[in-house]
Amino acid sequence: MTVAVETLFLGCVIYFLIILLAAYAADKRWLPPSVTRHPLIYIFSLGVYATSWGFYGSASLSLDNGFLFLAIYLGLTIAFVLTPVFISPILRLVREYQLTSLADLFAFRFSSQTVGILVTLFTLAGVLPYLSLQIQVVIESIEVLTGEIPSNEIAIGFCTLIVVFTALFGTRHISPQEKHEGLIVTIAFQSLIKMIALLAIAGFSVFGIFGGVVNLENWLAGHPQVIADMTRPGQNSPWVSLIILGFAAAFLMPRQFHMMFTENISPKTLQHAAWGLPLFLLVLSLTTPIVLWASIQANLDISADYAVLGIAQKSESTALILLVFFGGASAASAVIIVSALAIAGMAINHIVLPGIGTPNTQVSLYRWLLWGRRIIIAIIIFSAYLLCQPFQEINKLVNAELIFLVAIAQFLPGIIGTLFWPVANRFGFIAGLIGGALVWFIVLVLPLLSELGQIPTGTTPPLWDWSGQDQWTFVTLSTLSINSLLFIAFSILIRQNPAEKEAATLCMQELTTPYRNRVQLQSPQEFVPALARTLGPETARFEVKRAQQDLKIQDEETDTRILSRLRERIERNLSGLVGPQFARDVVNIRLPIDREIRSTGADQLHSMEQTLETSKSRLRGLAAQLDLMRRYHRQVLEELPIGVCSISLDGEITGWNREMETVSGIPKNTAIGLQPQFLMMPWNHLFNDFIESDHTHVHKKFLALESGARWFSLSKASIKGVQSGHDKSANELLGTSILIHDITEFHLMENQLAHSERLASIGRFASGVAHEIGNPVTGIACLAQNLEAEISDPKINSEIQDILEQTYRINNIVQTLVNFARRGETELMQKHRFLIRDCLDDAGDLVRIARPGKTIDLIIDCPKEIEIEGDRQRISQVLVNVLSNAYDASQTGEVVRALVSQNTNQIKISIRDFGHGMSDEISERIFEPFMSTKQPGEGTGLGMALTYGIIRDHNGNIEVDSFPNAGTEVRIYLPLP
Amino acid sequence: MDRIVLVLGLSALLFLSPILSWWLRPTFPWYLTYLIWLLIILMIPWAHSRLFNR
Repeated sequence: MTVAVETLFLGCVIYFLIILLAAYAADKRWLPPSVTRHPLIYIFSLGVYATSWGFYGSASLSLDNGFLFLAIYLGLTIAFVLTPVFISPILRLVREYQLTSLADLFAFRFSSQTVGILVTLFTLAGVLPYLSLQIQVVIESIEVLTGEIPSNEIAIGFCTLIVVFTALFGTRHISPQEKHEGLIVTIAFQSLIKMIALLAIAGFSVFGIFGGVVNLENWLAGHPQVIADMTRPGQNSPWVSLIILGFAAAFLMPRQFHMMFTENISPKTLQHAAWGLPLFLLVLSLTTPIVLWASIQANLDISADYAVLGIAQKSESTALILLVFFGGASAASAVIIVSALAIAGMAINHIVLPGIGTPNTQVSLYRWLLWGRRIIIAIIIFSAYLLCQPFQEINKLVNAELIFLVAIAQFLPGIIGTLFWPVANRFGFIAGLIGGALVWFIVLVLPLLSELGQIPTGTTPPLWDWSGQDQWTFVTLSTLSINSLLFIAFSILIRQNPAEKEAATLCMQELTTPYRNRVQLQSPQEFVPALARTLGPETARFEVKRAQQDLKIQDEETDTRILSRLRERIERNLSGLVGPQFARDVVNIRLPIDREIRSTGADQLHSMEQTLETSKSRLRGLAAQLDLMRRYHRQVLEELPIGVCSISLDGEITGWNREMETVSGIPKNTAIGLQPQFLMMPWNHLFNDFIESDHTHVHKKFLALESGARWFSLSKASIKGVQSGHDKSANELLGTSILIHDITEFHLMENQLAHSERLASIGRFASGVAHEIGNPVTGIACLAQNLEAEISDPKINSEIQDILEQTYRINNIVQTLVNFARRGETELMQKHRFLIRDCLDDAGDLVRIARPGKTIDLIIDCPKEIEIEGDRQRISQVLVNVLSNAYDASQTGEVVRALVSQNTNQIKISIRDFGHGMSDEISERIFEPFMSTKQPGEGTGLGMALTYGIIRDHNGNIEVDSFPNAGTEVRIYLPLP
Repeated sequence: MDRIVLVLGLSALLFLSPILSWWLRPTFPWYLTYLIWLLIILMIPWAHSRLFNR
């Protein structure tokens, strides 16, 4: 059955409109992101792997080689089994460094524009005939369906539609950060159509041609040769080589790379694709033997390449025929669209830009790149169309597919070197690729050209004949062997340059040093005019702003460390636009670095720490043990009860342990990377002064912090390289370490001890003095009394009375001194429980009576039930002393407050006056004997010293806070009874 | 992970031919090929979680 051209045309228009609508709906977000970003969409979009060869040609290969057609799919399955080994690392690199194609990846890894150019040209050479074949398949399928040879206009129309669609939905965004959801949905939809069409044709084969599953089984039982042909392994079958080709194609083919990595929305979707895509291909390939057997049963008079179409025609159903046609056209068009997009990106980054450079700065670079890409897409697709004529003689689809796969497999050594071999260099890669490509050309392309009549026949005898192997095994193994050998040999013989070495480290996910240079510019604003000279003002402004937004950097930022990160981010973003090599050149020229301060230890160490943290689970053997040891030492350093800070040679803080965070209140993340002078006050001065001083140790450095006065002990030492074997960097100065110990508690205890010791010595001295003075004074008093009794002269008696008063006064002082000296003789104390309120009232009365002319309002706030245990007389003396001082310091009419409170541990007696107060100097000496602020004769200066002694004897404590002209508060703490 | 890759690679090299010879026996049902392939696919998520994320 044939289909009318008009019907086919109408069907094509409707199908194209459906595809356009799906793409437009996805791009305009009419479809919710939960649909467009669903893992199933990603899986089906990767179904672009199944081309018209998978759709039509599998039956042909199956007819000649049985299940051999599965080898390509098994290769892909193995690649996805090894997703964490090959695919995930490539995805990481592509996303992290904004690479958009295989040429970008290789140019980045080998730091060579030549590599990018070579990869692009070789891919183009391999893919163009292949795309031409896809166009040819569509034309031939139209011929099979309509029975008429289609005119050239139909082929041109098909190509035009593909160009328009690709330009509309594949080049909508210029940055790889923005994905083409319309394109992804369309490719997924086309894969779905392929699957439905093949399942429908398989269903028709089973039920329409064989008459059901049982009949199919019976037919197979009656034709054992059919099964034998399918399962014929054959010693010469190229199973292994096709598996290798399928493995390489799974992630190295331009269209696979584009859909899998460049258009990848989320790395998580890869986990689903790892089983989803092989399952999709299993379903597709399950239909192949059924279709083949149905074509045998139906005796189709058609090439095995188009057995699927032949069976559809057998169904006499226009709908089924159109469905199968659309399935085949979808397979071909998806390949053309995605391949053209991928190659256009490679061509503009690695051929056009290096060749003619960027446009005039007045022209928008974005628009120029977009239109450049669109023009290249059109050139590629129409070039493929022009190649249709010479290639239409190829009698088997499978041959063209496999020739292309062998070409793509030449990137396999390069990608293995990129991911696993840090020694690999650009000379090795170029030599290997040229060697493999030459063999590919001689062994595969020349015979093909000979077959097509482009060169005289017989010039290239089939080399595999004398090797004893089949064609594909010989070709695959010979090209890959020569490629690998040259790659290894040149990589070993020629040394890498520093840029390659750095890129190799980045690719292998070892320690990264992403921003070890310092940019010479001073602010983000200075980046714009510098970049504008190459990119134009509009692009420069947008790119700087975009990088600032990515890193959340303000316009006012001046920290060169942060500006260096901005520079690196701009390079990555530009890499997504113009390729890694061109982006690096632009940034190196326009945003120059200061090579004199190349080493930024803080950044590098921090970066190394981060990388080691993320790669902990991947370390094995000695590396894992070293990492364990590193973690142990770091933990010891972190947990040290002394603050540790390390400073690199360039003056940046590289280490800041937990105690340092506690002591300073500055978080580690803030401190790391800063220079000490940028720390907050007063730490900046402390560090700077200490680093600049010649002393390696400073004891009792005072700091007035918000939390109060603190004293610190500081030490510093140089950090030198460790002596090891042939290491030339041994004893090289690496930086300085500073230890900070908070000795505030120690200092206060020391002060208290010294104070107590001073009081004790004064007490001993006073006791001795009292003893020596007491006896003569007693003698004087006795003599004076005798004189008073013997002499009756009133004048002399009055003077004798004065002598006696003075001796009483001396006795009083001496007695007080003796009492003070006896402090500590607690066994003499009369301890019992009493109410503190009563004691306070008595003391208040005594003080008030002793000062008859002074009216002070004494307010006592003391719960009646509070009791203390001690010597009531001595505690009364304490209260009298303190209250007397408060009264003496206050003016008439002022208030003195006595507040008593109790908690679970102690009783607090607070006596507060609002008098003239004391200076700090006097406050500090208040408990010393003979220390008094009163006029001579008004006080002995022993009251507070005695008070202190009595309170200490009761295991209590006493504190004084006083401010000049603001009053004094004395707090007495006594233990609970 | 590198050890796992090495073991897988060597295993593939050593056992691919015998596996293919066994797998493609005409005495087996024709769909056995697909069942084994399906089994491999179903094991992929398990292999990723057990072998590589350890």
